[in-house]
Amino acid sequence: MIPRKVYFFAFLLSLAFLLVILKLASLQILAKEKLIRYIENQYYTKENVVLPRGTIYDRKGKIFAISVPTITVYVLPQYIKDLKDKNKKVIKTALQRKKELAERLSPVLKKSQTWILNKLKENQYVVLARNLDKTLKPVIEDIRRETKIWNLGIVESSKRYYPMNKLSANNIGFVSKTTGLGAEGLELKLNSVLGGGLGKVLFLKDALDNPITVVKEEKKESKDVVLTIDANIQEMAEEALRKLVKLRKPKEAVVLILNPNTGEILANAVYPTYNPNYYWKYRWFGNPTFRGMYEVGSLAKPFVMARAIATGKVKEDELIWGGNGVVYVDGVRIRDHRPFKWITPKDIIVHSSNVGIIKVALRFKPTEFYSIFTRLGFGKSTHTFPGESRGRLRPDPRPVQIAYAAIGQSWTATPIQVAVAYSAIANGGYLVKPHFVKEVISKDGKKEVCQFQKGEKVLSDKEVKWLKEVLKLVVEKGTAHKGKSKYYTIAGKTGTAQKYDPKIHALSNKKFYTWFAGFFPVEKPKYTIVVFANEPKKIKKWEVIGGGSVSSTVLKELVDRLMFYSKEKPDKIVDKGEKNLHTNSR
Amino acid sequence: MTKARSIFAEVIKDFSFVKKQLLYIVVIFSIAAGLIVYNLKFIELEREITQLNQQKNYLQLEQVELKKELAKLSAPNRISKLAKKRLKMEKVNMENVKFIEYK
Repeated sequence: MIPRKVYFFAFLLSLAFLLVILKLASLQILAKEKLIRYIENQYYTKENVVLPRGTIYDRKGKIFAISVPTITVYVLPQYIKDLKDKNKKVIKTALQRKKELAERLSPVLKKSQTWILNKLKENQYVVLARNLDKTLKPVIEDIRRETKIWNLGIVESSKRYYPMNKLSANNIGFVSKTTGLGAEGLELKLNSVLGGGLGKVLFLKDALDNPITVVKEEKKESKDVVLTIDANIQEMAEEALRKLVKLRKPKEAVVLILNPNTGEILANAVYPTYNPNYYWKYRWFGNPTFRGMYEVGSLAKPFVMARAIATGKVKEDELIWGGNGVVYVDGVRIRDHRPFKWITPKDIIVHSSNVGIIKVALRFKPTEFYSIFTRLGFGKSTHTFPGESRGRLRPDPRPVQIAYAAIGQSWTATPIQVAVAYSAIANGGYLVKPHFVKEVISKDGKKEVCQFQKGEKVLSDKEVKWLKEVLKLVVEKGTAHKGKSKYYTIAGKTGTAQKYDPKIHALSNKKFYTWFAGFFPVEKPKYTIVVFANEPKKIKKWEVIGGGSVSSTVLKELVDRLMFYSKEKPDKIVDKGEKNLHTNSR
Repeated sequence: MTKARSIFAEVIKDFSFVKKQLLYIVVIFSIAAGLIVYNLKFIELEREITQLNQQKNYLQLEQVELKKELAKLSAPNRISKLAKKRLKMEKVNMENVKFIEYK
């Protein structure tokens, strides 16, 4: 009989346990969502916290953007009550405690005691400081312990910091303080890689109506990104740009440096710029390299002439009548910057003759003519940057439109498209895909290298050979001679485009876009460079504004410095008597 | 008296039943003791983990602060200003540059 009693009690106990387990299961599994909603409905308030994002590095490991841990200090003043001893005798009144708290917090938060006291008069949840340095956390915890104000709370958050300030700001962009996500530039483009965003902290009531905090954040994977930009080259480009801006006061300006063989963007200096650490103080966050569409002027000419020679429409030694600087197409008079008589194809490019190139362009069929530009990527976005423009290239078969298009008027391109087209000359005729991202590094250290894919061949070997030869002459003795280096060979072309003036409903004679696009050293090109200025001003009254006088002068500032930085030996033959030793590299 | 005796006899019987189950009881108690020891060890380890985590967080914070400082100090424009103002350095003049060839 006795075992029967034991079994009976054991059965009762097991049944009780089973019932408890079943109840727990029903609460935690079946009614889970309902109960969570019920709890959440009881919260006082919720605070958004910015989650950390991946770090952005330059190609040599310098930090462009980093998430720094911060704290938000809050208090629930309604719970600051009189402090009583064991006998329930008041030691400190609530007001005294608030004053003490304000006095202690004031030097830490760098806010006046009156301001803090005023905040403490409110009943609801009050934020006393946001984005404070996290190193202050132990100090605030000490204040909480010593004043016994347990409702003084700390919420951990993070903020984006850009240690290089304005350097490359237009490329990097910034993260919004309110959403924690990239709002401009590469920060915006790489949102899915860098992670971040917002987490939530809920302030709930416990059973005794006291506040408790619950952190509710969605963990997003964040990865670090290594860019193709070299901070040192970027600084060189920005220094050169600053000088150009100081001298010429343009509305916008760009110095873009690209690796012509891989499409890696090494530097992109832009004016105007901004400081991403204080982005809310600025109104303009553009990047004309990708978003601006401008007429390219004479930068278009070399491609037309090279194609004409390659297809046999023009012979290399042919003489073309320069019309004494004037040509009429469809009754429209188009002028040259100076009169030319009989002129060779080479000289048409070296001296940038409008009349010469128009006569050559009119030998093409319209579709054939416009394909010169479309196959080089003009009229198509490179998808490198958020909000990138395609440029405007609408084939118009009328001869006058072909004439204008040949001299780079009536169609527009972005500086990055120009860089891609000139890179094609530098790398043997291939289109490259410009890009900013070199590597993506996950938190476990795994690296994903962004592979460069060589694009389509768009220029024949004959075109490349002829273009390299002629563009070198443009810098040596043509329109870009002001930018030539004593030590390194440069190939390039200047461009000047008249801006449309809405006041006179015609092309302006005072407002211009000035360009230089080229690459160096000529034989083994390492860098493609595009220099652009929108409405540069004259320094002297008699001066003629143009790509040669404005944009190519930036080369003087950059080429020797850049090549020295890359430890590249001079490739020009130096005069005898020069004390330096220049030998061929191995 | 007889009632007490019968109760005693019943207790003895119960005890003999318990004696039969002694092995199980010992097993259960030793499992419980093991669990208590494990729990104590677990709490101790938890405390250690918390401390190490705090230390890790502190070190991570310090690392971020150092990274931030390093990035600020190695900014090219700062280096360039220091080189020009403090060290009186100038931009490269290629005339003064000698390239040495390695063979």
